[in-house]
Amino acid sequence: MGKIGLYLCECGPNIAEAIDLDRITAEIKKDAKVAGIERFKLLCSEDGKRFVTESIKERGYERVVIAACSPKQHQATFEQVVANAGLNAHVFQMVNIREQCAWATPDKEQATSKALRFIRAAIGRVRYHWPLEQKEIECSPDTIVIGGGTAGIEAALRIAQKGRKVFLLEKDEPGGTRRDREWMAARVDALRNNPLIEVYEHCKIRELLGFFGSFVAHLETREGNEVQLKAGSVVLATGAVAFDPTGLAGYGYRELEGVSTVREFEKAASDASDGHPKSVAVIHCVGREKLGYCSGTCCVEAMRVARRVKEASAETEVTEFYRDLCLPGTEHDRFYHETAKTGVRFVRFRDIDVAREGPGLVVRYRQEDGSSGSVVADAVVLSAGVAAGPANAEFARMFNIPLDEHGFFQSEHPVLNPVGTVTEGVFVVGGCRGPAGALDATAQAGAAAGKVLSALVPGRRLRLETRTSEVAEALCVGCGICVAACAYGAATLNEDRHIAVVNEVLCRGCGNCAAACPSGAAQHRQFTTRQMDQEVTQILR
Amino acid sequence: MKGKRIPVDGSVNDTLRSVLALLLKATDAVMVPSRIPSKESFAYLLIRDPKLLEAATPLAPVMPVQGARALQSMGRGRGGLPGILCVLRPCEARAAIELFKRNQVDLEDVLLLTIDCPGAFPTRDYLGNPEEFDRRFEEILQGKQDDGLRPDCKSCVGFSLQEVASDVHIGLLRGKPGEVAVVHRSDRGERLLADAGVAGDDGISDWEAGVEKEARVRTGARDSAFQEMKGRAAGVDGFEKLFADCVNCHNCMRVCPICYCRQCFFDSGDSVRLRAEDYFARAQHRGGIRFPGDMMQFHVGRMYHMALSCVACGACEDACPMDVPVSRVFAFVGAGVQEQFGYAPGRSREEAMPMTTFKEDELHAFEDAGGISAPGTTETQSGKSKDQDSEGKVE
Repeated sequence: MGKIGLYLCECGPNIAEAIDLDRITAEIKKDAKVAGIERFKLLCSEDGKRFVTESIKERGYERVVIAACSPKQHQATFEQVVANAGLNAHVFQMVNIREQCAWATPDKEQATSKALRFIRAAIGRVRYHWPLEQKEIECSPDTIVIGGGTAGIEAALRIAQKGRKVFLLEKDEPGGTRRDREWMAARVDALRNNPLIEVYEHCKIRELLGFFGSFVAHLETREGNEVQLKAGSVVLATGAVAFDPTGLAGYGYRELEGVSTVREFEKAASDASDGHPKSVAVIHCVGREKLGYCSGTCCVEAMRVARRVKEASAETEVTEFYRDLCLPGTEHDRFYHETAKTGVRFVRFRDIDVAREGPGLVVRYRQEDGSSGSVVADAVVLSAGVAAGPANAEFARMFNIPLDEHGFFQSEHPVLNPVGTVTEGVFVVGGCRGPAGALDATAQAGAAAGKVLSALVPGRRLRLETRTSEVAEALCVGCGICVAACAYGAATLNEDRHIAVVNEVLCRGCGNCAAACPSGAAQHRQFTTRQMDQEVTQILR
Repeated sequence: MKGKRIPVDGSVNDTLRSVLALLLKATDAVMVPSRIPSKESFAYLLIRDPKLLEAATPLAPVMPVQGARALQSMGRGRGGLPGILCVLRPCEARAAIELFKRNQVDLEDVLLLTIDCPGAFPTRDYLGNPEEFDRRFEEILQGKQDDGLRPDCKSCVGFSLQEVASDVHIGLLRGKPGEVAVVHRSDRGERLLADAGVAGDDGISDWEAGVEKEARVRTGARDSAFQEMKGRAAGVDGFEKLFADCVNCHNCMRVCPICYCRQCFFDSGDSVRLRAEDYFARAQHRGGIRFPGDMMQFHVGRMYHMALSCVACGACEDACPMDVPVSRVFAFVGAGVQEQFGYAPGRSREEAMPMTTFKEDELHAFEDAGGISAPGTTETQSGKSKDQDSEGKVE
């Protein structure tokens, strides 16, 4: 089993004052399972790290237990320290006696007993730790970007700017929902003229196979040809759709002439050449309740309508009806004040109803204080929220990434990894991951481009997760329960041999398969039956 | 429901044999329990030659081999081989479907034929006096009650076509001489009956009423069996008592159709054994421990693996040399777990196993109720263990 060295970190006063380290030392000595116990003020300091490395070498420890803070904080630090001493990083077990003992248990006696159980568990399990091999694969540095809207174009241009090949796949033509903006034409031109970007228009993605560093996309071109593209990462930028207010009571959409959505109104305005309306009413928050969230981008869109109308004809009266104004940040606030200065009237409503009376439309509203009023308008513009694209479900299945309750792609973590997903190497940017203004979409695309560029450097090999699962072929009966339990598509059935196999590159080491396997065939390399048995036995002893 | 009514000619098994002979013409082979040459027991035969059907006993007085196990032993992925009609009791058919869901049996070209099950005698009882039990079984087929059937059979509520996805079913209208009613339950079954000339449009409501009446009686028997088990299986103490006579032979696992592991974890030697020092530590802590130490772990582990799919066929208890009421415990626990997940083993080929699906709202009712507990036993249970703890500390 090898000589075990135990290191106790005092973490300044954090651990030393809350836990009786002398008692722990004495008890562990009595157990006689470790070859040596060392204590240090701050193991994560440069001195501390050097101390551990030196003493492992000096005393010839073959297994190492470090009782300190949370592995979330310093697992990687100490793995490196152990590796520096010439050992495999996995013959080491970290014990959290700070967050889980010193900080969580106020009674010193109890905290000490708890820490003792944890340390014994770690000593018990580390006896059954074996070196794990660090594997690498060669990656493809190319990127597939799906969707040619604001976010997709930005991501493609940023990645290509660094000399990297990009395939941009678009179901329609590049431009996205902002294709009418003046700046978009230049972006599309830049995209089409970039020699490193191959644009596939009017194509359909049939399948995506593979994993981070080595994806293969099968697509069907407009001409009906099957094309295979290889890339190391994928950026999903499939956008969102505008909420359809058809059938929503009180707005008269598709029932009353003169009621239109923002996009319809803008299109009609750019096509029309005759005269200007006398009065326009813009209603915010259409579909807000049905969607269940504030899209955060439509207030500005609605005000942009007012600005355009005013620019075309300053005499036209414009009223913006809103429930809540969502104007995050300085830019949007400035835009609001400038809009108000142009003479646009802002009215806050609680209930609203659009009806046709004679030649015009009448918008009747009631306010929070119960007072009510009405505005006569030639045109009523409905500013609706943003809804998830209908194709999201199909992409979610293909890429093995979850959708949130509203049908948008879920990022791996809203703060820690906002553009990454549970499928490594697949990024989500722009409207497909939730309503996003042009600013947000661009920023997210930049973030994803940065991630792609830093993770997939040409010629670099990818280091794979070492703590993965494996299937013991002799025990596997090929029932496929692990395949259903695997969230990463790593476990698959080998039909010929009728056994399950784990793809080491896709496996994230979550251990679901090991827990679900009735035969004990699927095992996690760092949570073997024996390691867990020792751990639990020692904790409960 | 409509079907083909056929009057019993000779014995019930004679009539079933003649139906099978017709069906064999429309399929490639029939797999059916048959009397083995020594004439004292029964095994599954895969029959292609109609002459061999003479030994077939579609309804045998005992169930020494679970039919799903027999089907499984044919192996997987026959792909391209001809179609097989497999004759099974409803519980066996349910197990076959559970194995199908786990990739352990290929039902692609297998048609399942179920028959109203009269129950089976304990195999050991039967072997003691085969002639006597053959005679009693004939009487059961004619409608007589017999208290010597296995406990699981007496309280079986799935003896007919309840919750079983078979393709063809044969109902028994018991009496002298009685009738059998052949009905199809799937498109494939319908085609088979048509091809074999056994399709019919006869009214069978009298049989349906009979099944319903019998089901009510059995449900009553099952409820009281569960009630009794609820008392006996309560808590660790109750459980230990139930399994006290277990000799770790693992027969129950070997005959269980749902235990499909290539090698049972508990047969894998060292992987379950602790080091002597760890056993000493446990003995020291608890005052003493039982050896071999994995008996309870084996039963609880097996229960955890198969409770959702337990079809209460009773094969385990039939194979137990120590008369441990293993099947009755498993059936009781299985029924409770299956109810929690709204899952019925063998009900359909398509119904996904709860283990392989994630539903956000599942088990909420169960969690809110504080988990499964036999009514009135939770309090006494926790009270008791507390007492033991404090006693332990005094020592």
